[in-house]
Parts: sequence; structure tokens; C-alpha cells
Amino acid sequence: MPLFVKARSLLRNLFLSRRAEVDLDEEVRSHLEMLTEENIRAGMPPREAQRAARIELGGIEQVKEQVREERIGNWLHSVMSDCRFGVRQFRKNPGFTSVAILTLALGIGANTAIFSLIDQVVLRWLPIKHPEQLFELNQDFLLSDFEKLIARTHSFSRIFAADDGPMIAGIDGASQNVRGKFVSGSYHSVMGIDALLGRVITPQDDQPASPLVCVLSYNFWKNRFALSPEVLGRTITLKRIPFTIIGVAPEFSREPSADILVPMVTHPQLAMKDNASVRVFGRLKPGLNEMQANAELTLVYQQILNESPGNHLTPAQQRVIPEKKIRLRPAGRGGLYRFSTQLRIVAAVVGMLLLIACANVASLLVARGTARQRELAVRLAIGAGRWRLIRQLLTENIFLAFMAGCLGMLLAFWLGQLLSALISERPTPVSPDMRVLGFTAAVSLLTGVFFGLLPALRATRVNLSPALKEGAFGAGSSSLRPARSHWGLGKSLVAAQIGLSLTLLIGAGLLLRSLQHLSKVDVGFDRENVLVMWVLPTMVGYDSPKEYSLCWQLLDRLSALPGVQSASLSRLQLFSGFWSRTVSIPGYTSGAQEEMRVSCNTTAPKFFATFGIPLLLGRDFTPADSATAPKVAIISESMARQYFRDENPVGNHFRFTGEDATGDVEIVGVVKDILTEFRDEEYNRSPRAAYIPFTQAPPTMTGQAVIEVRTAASAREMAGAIREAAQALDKNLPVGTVQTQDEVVSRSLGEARSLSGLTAFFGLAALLLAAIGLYGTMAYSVGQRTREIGIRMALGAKRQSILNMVLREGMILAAVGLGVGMTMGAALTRLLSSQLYNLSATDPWTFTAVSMFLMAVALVACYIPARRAMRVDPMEALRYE
Amino acid sequence: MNSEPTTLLQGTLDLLILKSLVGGEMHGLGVSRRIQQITGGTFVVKPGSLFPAPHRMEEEGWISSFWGESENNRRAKYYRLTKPGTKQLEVETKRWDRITGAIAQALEAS
Repeated sequence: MPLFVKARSLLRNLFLSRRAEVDLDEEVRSHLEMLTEENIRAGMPPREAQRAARIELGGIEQVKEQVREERIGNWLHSVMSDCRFGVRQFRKNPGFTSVAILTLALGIGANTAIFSLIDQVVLRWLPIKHPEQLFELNQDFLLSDFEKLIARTHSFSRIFAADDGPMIAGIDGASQNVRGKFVSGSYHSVMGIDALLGRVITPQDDQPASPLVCVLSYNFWKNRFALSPEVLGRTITLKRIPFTIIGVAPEFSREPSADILVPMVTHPQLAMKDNASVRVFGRLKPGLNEMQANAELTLVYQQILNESPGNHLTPAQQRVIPEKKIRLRPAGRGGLYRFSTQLRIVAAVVGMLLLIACANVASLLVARGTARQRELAVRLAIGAGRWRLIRQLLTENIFLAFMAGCLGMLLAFWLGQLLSALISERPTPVSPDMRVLGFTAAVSLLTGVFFGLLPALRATRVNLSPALKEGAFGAGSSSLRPARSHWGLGKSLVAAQIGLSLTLLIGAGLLLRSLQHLSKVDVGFDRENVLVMWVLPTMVGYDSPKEYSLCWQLLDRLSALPGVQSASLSRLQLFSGFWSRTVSIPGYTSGAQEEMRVSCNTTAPKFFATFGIPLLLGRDFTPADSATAPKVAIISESMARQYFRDENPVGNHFRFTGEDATGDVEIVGVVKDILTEFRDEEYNRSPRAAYIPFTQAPPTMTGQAVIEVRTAASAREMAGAIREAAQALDKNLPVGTVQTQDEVVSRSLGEARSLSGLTAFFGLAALLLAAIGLYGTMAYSVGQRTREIGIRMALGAKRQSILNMVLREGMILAAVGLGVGMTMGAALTRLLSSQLYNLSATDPWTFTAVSMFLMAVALVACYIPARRAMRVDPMEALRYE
Repeated sequence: MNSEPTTLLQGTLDLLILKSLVGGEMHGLGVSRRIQQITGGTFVVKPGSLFPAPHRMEEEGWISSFWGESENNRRAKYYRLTKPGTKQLEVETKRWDRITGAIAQALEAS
């Protein structure tokens, strides 16, 4: 019953508020009249009686306001009316409104885009049972080692191994590229994934003697087989080996999910030859924490490493075993377990951008608050509470922020595409969902409060009488008080914006300069005139002898093409991938901590000629350096200098140690150093390099190669001919696209390029905001001082000195911001240093250039209002008086 | 009786308004005068400060209102006790008794 009454009152208050108001009005009036009558009856004269009645009742509007505040749903009602009022205000100031909304939308949009990305790749749980129990080991395991791990570890209740690999699938006689996934028999049951059709892979399927089976992922089933239930029992071929389809199951992965799943037992046959290790996942036993599991697993892992077959570990490798630790990382969350440095940087950048946007809108609001002083003073004078006014201003601001949030969502969608390209080669579509919407709403709300509170507090702190008196001329512009700019909130906000945007610009400047350094680096080979293309014979089942003959034939055909100067191949593409091996050299004793590591590659003859790498000593490989011929190598200048000093290394011998250890290898040539990666410290890549004939490669380094062709013609002209040459030999041979080597090198800069591009984009956006803030503040200050300037001119001030006065004021502001920005920049750019190539994080050139650029922009932003000040007509200005 | 008006204790205003309406419907000014009368002048409620309370109580459903004619043929807003209001009066009365009882006990203790 009372609930019903309340609900009725609420509805009445919200929707029949006018009637409630009329009612209230009448009630107060009748009350007053009755009081008056009482007083008259008591013998007062009518006028006196009315006065006494009013005094007894108290202020009419205050009483009414008190009643309104008692009403149910009062706050809702006032929020609604505040919003309505706000919309009217914004309509009256379309300029302010659109600038504020756009500014905030940029900040909110950028943050939403980043959040949705982080959410997708880092935060969100997979839709499996107890995803929080699922962990991945940070080290990959050989299959045999994985078996040992299962037998020995006690940290996991369940465990499985998985590995991704590209495959060629033959379906209905046609072959196509698919994403394959090898899983150990327990995979589906540990993940808790059930079959949608047929059955999933079981441990029985993962036995050497079991029939070969595979499971399709739901997506592949949908896209390739149109959800047909008839796929069960059908046969598809992988590497020309037939597999029976036993079921369809969903795949949960943030990475692009697999198309076809096969038991791990097929890994040795199907996987690429250099891929012998697998990823290991497990469910942590209840009650164990990650630290305990890490310790136990590290112990087991090191034990296993020490037992490695034949124990052909070099002393140096044995020394590093105690440093090889297992660290679990959550696998139940998004596919990117690491919150990459780039993502962190971009997140910090957009956070700062939002801060700048807030400061910008806040400074606009401060100026507007001053312009609205009269309105606020009137409202205070007729009985509005200060809190009520603050609430109204805040409601307006939050409303503004929500409008910006809506626009920001759209912006986020667009930015998201850009950003996801930054963190992975295969961009995942960014789809705003409820979580992202929630985030945007929360950010909008916080933003609204954040940028709105200070100005609102300030605007409502009004000294009533002067504010009301002044107002006649609007905008508090009348008094002759020397508006000798006191260092107010508005100016602090502008200085903060300038400081923050300078910090961003410095970051962007450093990244751009680093990129510039990178693109000018002499890589040591000709990247312009070489076309490259992958060929992958192993994917269609070639064995080594067949592969070699294919390669030789292909090189012959290519060399014979018109326009081709030379053709060669190598196992590794320059600037994509690396292969590091340890060596031992007779007569050279390594230092205690020295690891004798060189980067290695396998090549065909003419590799160095094709890339224009000078052969300094000895000879190139020839077809005579076959699999059965004596083992030979060509080494780089750096390797020669390091291990052979001044001696001529040609004719000397060395050995590869560690994995794929060899007997004596004879050095037959020395070539100039080249760069194979811009950042070499991370993977022990060094200009010390050894090249071996592709026919003498260890088995793991066969199966695929990149064809390199030196030609004067363009890629577009030659691409068709090169592909045709390959497919004329075997129409099923999987080949990649034809690119120039320059494209490959450039692509390796892709990350650096998008990072610096994004930072520069946001930095410039921040600068634009700061310039708007500075301009707004100066224009406002000039407007306020029109009269003062008029008087100065009337008293003989020169226009030039007025210009200087205004400029000085603005530039002081900019200089303060600059100081703040430089300090922050120096402190924060250190976090960038991992991304900088050959450049100090406090590079003075960048700091100076960016600061000068900022000061130039600030000068322009001040010059426009300063010119306006200079053109003030003293007569016009003083006529107001 | 003490003729000095006393400030109202927190929470007693509702009780007094409900009590003053037991005798029958009454307009706002009447309620204020009635309170003054039944408390022997101890509580003087200014009509202004009495204004918001009936509105809130009406929304709680304890009293209802209608427009009627005053003694001098003026249109005035009248308030009347509802069933939930009568129940609320009982509740408030009990609560008040408990408080005064407790205070009295406290004062008597030596």
C-alpha cells in the first residue's frame, strides 16, 4: 500500500510536475492569506498584517524549495531539469559545446580503443571451466621432454601440450592452406571442450599405432563445409597423408584459432622441420600457488635439461641451465599473455591525452564560469543553494562528457583497427561490447566529474553584490580593476596542458628520430634490387634429396629468366628470423663468461653475389659442396676477426657445438658483415656469422627456403614469372608472395613505425588541444581587459607595446608549461629507451627541436588575440564606461 | 506550564503532526496552531518550517490531502490521517514512550 502511494507520488512528481507546482503555489498563497487574516483579526492594519505574515512564513521561494527537496524522486527530477537547462545552455554556445565535445571524444575514444584492445588480448577470460586454473609454461619442450615432465611434476592436476603450425590440407582433391594445431590426447578434456558433432580427440587417438584422425574447429566447419553433418567419417589429407574427420568442436583462443586439430603423435611428420618443441599447459592443483608451482617445475625442468640426449651440451650451455627458470603465465585469459611494451606506451599516451582533454575543457569551463557569473549570482541570490548549483554545473558537465562518450565510441571503433594492427601481425577485429560500453560510460562519468568539479566549485564561489552590479555589461568585463592577470586556475590548467603535450611530443619526437636512424642504417646488403619468395616443399611431403633437386632445378630456371642477374636461396630470410649456434675453434680459448655464438644461415651458391655482399677472401659455395662432400662454411668478417685475429681463416677448421653439433667444418671464404635484425642484443644475434651450403644443413633446417632473385626489373613485372617457374616444377608446391627484400626490411620496422606514428598523431592532437586552450585563455583575457587596453592607448601606449604585453603574458604561460613538460619528459622518456635505436632517451636535439616547435605554435596561438588587443579602438572601448 | 517555546527534538515533528490530525482533518496553518495548543505553547512551529513535513508524510502515505474551504471561506489545503498514518502514529508513540522511559530511568538512577 505505502509502496503504491510512493510510486504514485514519484510518477506525479516526474510527469505532472507542473500541476504539483501550481498546487504548491496555491498552498503557500492560501497559507499566507490565512496568516494575514489572523493578524488582521488580532488588530493589525492590513499592510502590517501582510508583512508580519510574510516574516512568519519565511522566504516564499525558500519554503517552496524546501518542499521540493522533500519530494520523492526529487533528485531525478532535478537531474532531468538540469539536463534540459544544460542542453539549452549548450545550444546557446555551439562553439564552446562542439569544441568541448570533440576534445573529450578524442580523449575518451582513444582510451576506449585501448581498453577494448587490452580487454581482448589481456584481460578477458576464455569461456571454459575454471579458466583461472589454466596456466602455460614459459619454456617450450621437446616432445620427449614433455613425456618426462608429465611423469615427474606434481604441480598440475591435468596437463596437455599444443603446438600451432601451418598445413596444406587436401579436401576433395583441392589443396588449401589451413591453420593446424597439434594437441596431446588430453587437450579437449583438460580444456573442458565438448564436441558439437561426433567426438573430440582422446588419449587413445594420441598413440603411435592409432588410426589417423582429426577434429575440425567450428569456424572451419562453418566456413568450409557450411555446417554439413556429413563431414563425419570423411577423409582429408595433410601433407598427403589421409586423416579421418571424427568430430567438430569449438576452439577458444584469442589468437586466430586453428582450423584443424590433430593428435600430437603426428607432430614429427606434419610439423615444419625446424619445429621440434611444443607448448605446455596445465591446470594448477587446488591449493597450490603459482610461486610454489614455479619452483617445483623449474627443478624438474632443469633436471630434464641436464639429461638431454647424449648430453652434447657445451660447458657454456650447462652454465646457463640454472638460469633457465619456469614461470607460469595465465593461459585462461586472452591470447597475449604479455602486456607488451608498445601497448603500455600507447596506453600511457592515451591516458595523458585524456588528461589534456580534461584540462582543456576545464580551462574552457573556467572561462565560461566567469562569463556565467551573473547568472549564477542571480540564482544564488534568489535562494538556490551552492550545492544545488554545483550539482547543476556538474550535471551539465557529465552530460557533456556522455555526449563525448557516444562520439568517442565511434572514434574508438576506427582507432581500434589502427591499434590492433600495432600489436599483432594478424589484426583482431575490435568489437565494442558491454564491457567496453561500461568502460566508456565509467570513463565519461569520471571525466565529467574530473574536469567539471574544480570549475564548478570556483564558479559558485561568487561574491554576490559586485557580481550583480557588474553584470550590466555582461561577462564581468566592466570594472577597471587592473585585471593584472593573477595566476588563476585557468592559467594553471593551460600550463599543465602545454606541459603534458610537450611530454607527448618529446616521446613522439624520440620515436620518430629513432625510426629515422633505423631507416638510414646501412644493412650491408642491397635490399632494393632483390626479389624474395618462400617455397615450402616439406608441406607437400618432399624429403631432402627430392627437395634438393627441386631447388637446383628451380635456381636453374630462374637464372635463365630474362632480366634475372642471379638467383640463390637461403633457409632464413634476412630481417626475419634468426638461427643462433655455438661454435668451438681449435686454438681459440674462450673467456670464462664468453659464449661462442654466431648467427647461422644456409645458402645456395651466388647468395652473396645476389645480395651484393662482397666476398673478401676465398671462394663462394658451388654445387660441388653437396650433402656428401666435405663440410664447408663461409664466415663473416667479424667472426674472422674475433676468432682468427690477423690470421687468414680460409683453410682453417671449426666445429658447431650444442644442438646439431658437427664434426670439422672447413672455412672456404670470408664475406663482409651484414645486419640481419635492427635490434640484435635481445637474441644474441651478432654480426659474427657463419654460412653453410643448404645441402649440408641439419635436418631441422630443411624443408623450406626463401628464393632470392637479383633483377633490374620491378617486383610486379617479375612476380608472375618467378611463381610460374616454381609451379611449373610442381603445381602443388606451396609458394609465398613475391616481395622485394626492401619490403621485408621495412616490415620489420612496422611496429616501430606504427608506434611512432600513433604517438606522433596523439602528440599533435595534444598540441592542438593545448594551443586551443592557450588561445582561449588569451582571447578571454584580452576580452576582459578591453577597457584597460583602451585606457592605456588613450594615455599614449603604442600599439606595438600592447601587442608585446599580451604576447609576453601568453609566452610566460607557455614557458612555464615548457618547463613542466621538459621535466616530465626527462623523467618519463626513460621508459621509452627500449624502443629507441641508437638514441639516448634524453636526446638534446629532440628536446630542443620539439620545444622550439611548441613555442612557435604557442606564439601563433597568442598572436591572434594579441593582434586583436592591438586593434582595440580606445573610443569604442571607453564608450562602455 | 512553561511558556518558553522549546526547540523541537529531532523526529518529534512527524509525531506531533500525526497526533494533531487525530481529531480530524485540518489545514496547514491549523496544524501549526494545534501543535502550539496541545503542547501548551511549549512547541511553536513556524508555519514556514511546518511546510515541507506534510508533503513528505503524504508521499509516505501517512496522510492525504484535499482542497477545502477554511473557516473564513478561503480555499485551503487540508490534511487527513490515513490508515497507515494511524498505524505510524502508534509506532511513533511507542518509540517515543520507549525513549522517554529510558531517559527518565537514566535520570532517576543515582
